[in-house]
Amino acid sequence: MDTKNLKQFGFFFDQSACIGCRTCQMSCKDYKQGDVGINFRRVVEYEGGTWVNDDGSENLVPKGVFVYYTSISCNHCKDPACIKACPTGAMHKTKYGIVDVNPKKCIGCKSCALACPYGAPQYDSRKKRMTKCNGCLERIEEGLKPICVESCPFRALDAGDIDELRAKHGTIAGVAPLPDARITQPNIVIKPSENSKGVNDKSGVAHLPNHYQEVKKDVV
Amino acid sequence: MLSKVIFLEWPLVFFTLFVQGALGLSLLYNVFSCKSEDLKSDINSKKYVAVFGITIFMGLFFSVLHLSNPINGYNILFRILYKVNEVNYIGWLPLEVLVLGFTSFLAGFIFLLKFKDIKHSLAEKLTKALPLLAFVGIICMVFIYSSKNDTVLAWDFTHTFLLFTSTALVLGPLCFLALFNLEKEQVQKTTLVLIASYMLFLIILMFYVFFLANLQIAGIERIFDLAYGYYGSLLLIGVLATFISALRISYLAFYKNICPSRKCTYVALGLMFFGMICIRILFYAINNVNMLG
Repeated sequence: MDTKNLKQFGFFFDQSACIGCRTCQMSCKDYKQGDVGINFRRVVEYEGGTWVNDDGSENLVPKGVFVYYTSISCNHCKDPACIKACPTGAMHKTKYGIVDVNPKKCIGCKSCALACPYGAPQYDSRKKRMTKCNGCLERIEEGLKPICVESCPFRALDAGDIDELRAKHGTIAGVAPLPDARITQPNIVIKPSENSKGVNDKSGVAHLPNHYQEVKKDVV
Repeated sequence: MLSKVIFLEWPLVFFTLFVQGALGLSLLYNVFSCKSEDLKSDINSKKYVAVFGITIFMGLFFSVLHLSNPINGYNILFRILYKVNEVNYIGWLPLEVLVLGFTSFLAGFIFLLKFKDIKHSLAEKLTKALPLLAFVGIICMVFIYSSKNDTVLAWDFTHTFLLFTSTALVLGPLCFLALFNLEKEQVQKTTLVLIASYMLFLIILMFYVFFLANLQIAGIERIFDLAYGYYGSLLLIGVLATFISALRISYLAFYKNICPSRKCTYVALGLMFFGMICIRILFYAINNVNMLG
C-alpha cells in the first residue's frame, strides 16, 4: 500500500464477491491474537424471505428468499461516534485518519461500544480496556495491506485512501443490516450484491455467528 | 442467557437506582420538612443528609465497579467540554460524575457542619441545594443515554427522562417512610404521593413499552428479543413486585388506617427496589448495538 497519498484510510468491500467464509475474520483474529469473543472483523449474515405453499400441493415455492454477507470492521469514520462518546479522550484519530484507543487513557466504560453503530470497539476482559481494529497500522507502515484484505480468498476486500477507493468503486457505504451512513460517515465503500437491501430494510434477519456451533448450515 | 441479561450492567442498574432514590428522598424531605418542626430537628436533618450523601456515594461506588480501569479515571476531568471535527460537545459522563461527586462531598460537608454545630444557616441553605444537584446529576445521566440514541434506539431523551424521574418519585416516598418516624397524617400524605407517583410510573412504563414495540431496527424482528426472551417475564416480575409494595403501604395507611411498622416499610422498600431492578435491567438489556459487535 502506498502511504504517500494515504490521507484517510478506508476499506472497500465487494459484497457480490463475498461468500461468507469468514477467512477475513479468522486471519484478523489470528494476527491480532484476539481473545474469545473479540472480533475486530465480523461477517454478518443477512437473510429473509419465506417458502410458501400457494397451490395446496406439497410444492413449496420461494417467496423473496435472499441471503448475503457483510464483512465489517471499524470504518474509521469521518464523524466517529466512539470518539464523541469517549469520556476520557482515549478514543482518538491517529495517523492516516485511523481511529485507535489510547490504553493509558481508557477506563473501560464501554461508552464507545454503545455509541458505535458498527460494533467496532470491543472490550478485552484480559487487558481490561477497549480494543479495536487499527487498520493494521504497522503493516500499512511497511507498505502492506491489512491482514483481512490479504487473506480474503475471493478478493472481496481492499483498503487504501478512501478518496481513491470512492473514485474507483462509488460511494455506497450502507446496506442492511448496517446503519445509515449519515450517522457517522464511515470510510467504507460497498459494492452491493444483487440481493442487497437498503439500510432501513426490515425484511431480513441478521445473524452474527462468532462460534462454529452457532453456524447452523454450511456457509460455503 | 438469563445471567447475561441480569449481569449485563448490574453496577449501572444499582448506580442509577441509588441516585434516583436519593433524589426522591431529598424532594420528599424538603417538601415535608417545610411544615414539620420535627423533621427539621437536628437529629432528623442529620439523618437525612447522612443517608442522602451515603446513598449518592454508594451509587458512585457501584458506577466505579462498572469501569475496568478506574486508575485512568482522572482523565475524565479533561473531557467536560471538547471538540470533535470542530464541533463542541459536552462530556455528559464526566459532568455527571463531577456533579454527583460534588453532591456527595457537599452532603458530607453539611453533615460535618451540623455535627460540629457551626454555621447553622449556611448548612440549612446548602441542604436545600442537595435535591437540585441530584436532579442535575440525573439530567446528565439522561443525556449520557440519549446521546447514544443514534445507535441505541430505545434510549431516547423523553422516555429515559420520564422513566428516571418517575422512578425517583416512586422510590422517594418509600425511602422517606423507611427513614423517619412520621405522624399518621404525614404517613398518609406520603402514601398519597407514592400512589400518584406509582400510577405515573406505570403509565410512563406502558408508553415506553409501546414505544419499544413500535421501534424498527434493521435485522431485528422485535427489539424485545434482545433480552433473550426474558423481557416479558422480567417486566411482569418488576411490575408485580412494585405493585405489591405500593399496595401494601397504601392498604395499611388508608384501609387499615395505621402507620406501617418499620419492618413492613423496609420490606416494601426492598420489594420496590427489587421490582425497579428487574425493570432497569431491561433498560440495559435492549441496547441493539451488539448486533454487529
